[in-house]
Amino acid sequence: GRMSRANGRGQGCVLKQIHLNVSDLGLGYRSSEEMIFRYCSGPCRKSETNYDKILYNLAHSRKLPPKDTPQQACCRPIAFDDDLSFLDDSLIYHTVRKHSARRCGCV
Amino acid sequence: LEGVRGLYFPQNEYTETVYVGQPAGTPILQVHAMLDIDSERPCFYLCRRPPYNSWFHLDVNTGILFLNKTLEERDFALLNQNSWSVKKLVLRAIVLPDFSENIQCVGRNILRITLDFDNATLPQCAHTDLKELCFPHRDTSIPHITENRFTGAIRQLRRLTRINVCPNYTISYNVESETPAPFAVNENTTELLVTAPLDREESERYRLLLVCTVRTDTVITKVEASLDIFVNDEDDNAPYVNGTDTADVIIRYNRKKGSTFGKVSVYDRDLTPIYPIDQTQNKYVGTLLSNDQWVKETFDIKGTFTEKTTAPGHIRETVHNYQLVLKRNLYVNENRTVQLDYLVNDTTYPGLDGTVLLHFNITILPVHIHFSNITHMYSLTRRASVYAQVARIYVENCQQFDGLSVTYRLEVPDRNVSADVQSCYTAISIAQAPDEMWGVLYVNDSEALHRRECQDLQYIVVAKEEHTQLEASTQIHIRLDGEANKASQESQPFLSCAANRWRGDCESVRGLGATTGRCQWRQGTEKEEPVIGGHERGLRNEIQAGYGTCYCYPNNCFCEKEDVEEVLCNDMCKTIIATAL
Repeated sequence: GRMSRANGRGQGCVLKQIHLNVSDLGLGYRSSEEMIFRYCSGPCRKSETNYDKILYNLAHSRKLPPKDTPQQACCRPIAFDDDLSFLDDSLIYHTVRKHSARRCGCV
Repeated sequence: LEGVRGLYFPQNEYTETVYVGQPAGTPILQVHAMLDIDSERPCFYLCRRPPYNSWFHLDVNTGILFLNKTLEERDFALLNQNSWSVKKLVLRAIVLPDFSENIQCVGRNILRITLDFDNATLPQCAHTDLKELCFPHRDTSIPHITENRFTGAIRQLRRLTRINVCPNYTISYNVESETPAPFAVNENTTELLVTAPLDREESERYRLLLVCTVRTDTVITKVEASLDIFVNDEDDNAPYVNGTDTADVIIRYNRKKGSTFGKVSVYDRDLTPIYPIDQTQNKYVGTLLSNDQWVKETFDIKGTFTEKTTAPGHIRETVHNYQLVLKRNLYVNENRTVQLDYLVNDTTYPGLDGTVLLHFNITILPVHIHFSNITHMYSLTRRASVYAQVARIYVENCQQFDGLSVTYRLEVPDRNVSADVQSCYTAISIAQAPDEMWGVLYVNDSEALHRRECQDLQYIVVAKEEHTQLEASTQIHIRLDGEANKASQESQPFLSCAANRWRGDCESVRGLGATTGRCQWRQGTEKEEPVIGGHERGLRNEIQAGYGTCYCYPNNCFCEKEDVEEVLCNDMCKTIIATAL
């Protein structure tokens, strides 16, 4: 009971990871090299401010023009992993920057 | 005589094994030196240094290394080395051409003797392999013999430490080779001999088979070991020219400082080492034979050399290549014919004819700056955007120019026109193409194109050569197509075409630099131009290849494949969400 409650409280915007092949990234690179991709995921309710509350209320009561609805706080990387270098199937080196999250935050 | 170096060791490393209990006076191995001059008498000395030096004695005349003391267990323990069962004793020795009191171990005639000190007694005959009896088990040193030198002993074949191990065996050696080779074994001393002076230009390497025959009362056994002997080179061949000693050089459009022209090759059957850098073997010195100041200031000769292997015998030789180098940019109007002689001297060749004379027949032709056509006609749509390219304009042969530069400017031919018409001429400007030799005519003022009073535009393009200030000019005639409008009609601002990601947007935008006024969509199959997303950079850091569609904002580019778009919430999706709310 206590354990799961503690876990539940920690499940905000967190860093998760997945094991991938470089070709899974969808960037057009053909390579069988593997990598760990880290991404940010989770709700950002905890970091809501009065600003977010007001925005939500205004949008709900249609007091904002529909096109102008600003985004709510998003779980996004606030720092990125080190560069990823790999050799593709044509034996050409590539380096991808800012490809994987290191730390997450609600921004 | 040039090239005398003194005595030399045919191999500069020896290895052997010594054991506990081997008595004082035991011979261990024999080192050999080869003569450089017939009168030399090699004298061998151990270099003083390690404390165990005193355990050994090197015979000054024979080069045989003896034990000075009986090796004991505590000698082994005394050695301050790691705790393995074999310890290494490294001795250094020197050979001098005469007896000497004061031994200084400097110079190149130093050899290294590595003795493995085994913490065990010498194996008995019954426990000794015949191979061990005949040859050292790890002898990797390869003999090198200098060509054109004297005959003599190269190596002791017997393992001196094993002579008394099997007293009942008779051991003899002989040498074999597939091709005739001047090597033999002295049966009395069991030394390997070179029986004739060697010539590297004939054979660089001899592959010998050493055969050791062990006779007991009942059995004769043969043990074989291969041995490669390399021949060291010396400068004993004069340079020669194979074919022509003359290069005909015509200099015209490439007048750039540092450019090279023509090539004459000089061959030398000797080798030219590149290490050490201060080598003196086969050293070539070239001299420009001209007193003409203009020639000296304008030309130089660049010499490079490579090594080449001759086809039949796989013997290496040197090829020296000489090329003419421009020391300065030549002006377009320089026009002259000169002959340049270059003397190549193989300074280390001891003979008399170590030189070759090379000739460069040089013709410098002038370059005329002129346009191929008197008049150039172009048409341009009135809808063209600002910065749209109208035409490239260049003087004749400019693509081949190097080391000279031509600048282009626009002039208005007739200034006796109304102010309205005069203002039409702001429509077009000319820009210098970077690195290239041509000018680019482009739209400078797109509003002028729309004005009714601006009809055909005529300009004069003047090309000027930078150094000589020589000028050439041509007429430019630009016909404006399409309907003239009120200039202010198109209120839409010019945007960058590159920022459009979709074809529809792209083709409806008045893009900067668009010759038709509209951006042009380029549909590729695999590769296009791009920074975020999959891409490859070109030499100038441009996008050489990109995955999907590439589009650029002023500071960054994106390359994306169509089918992965719309995943994140864009304006459209926000609208849907907002409407739903």
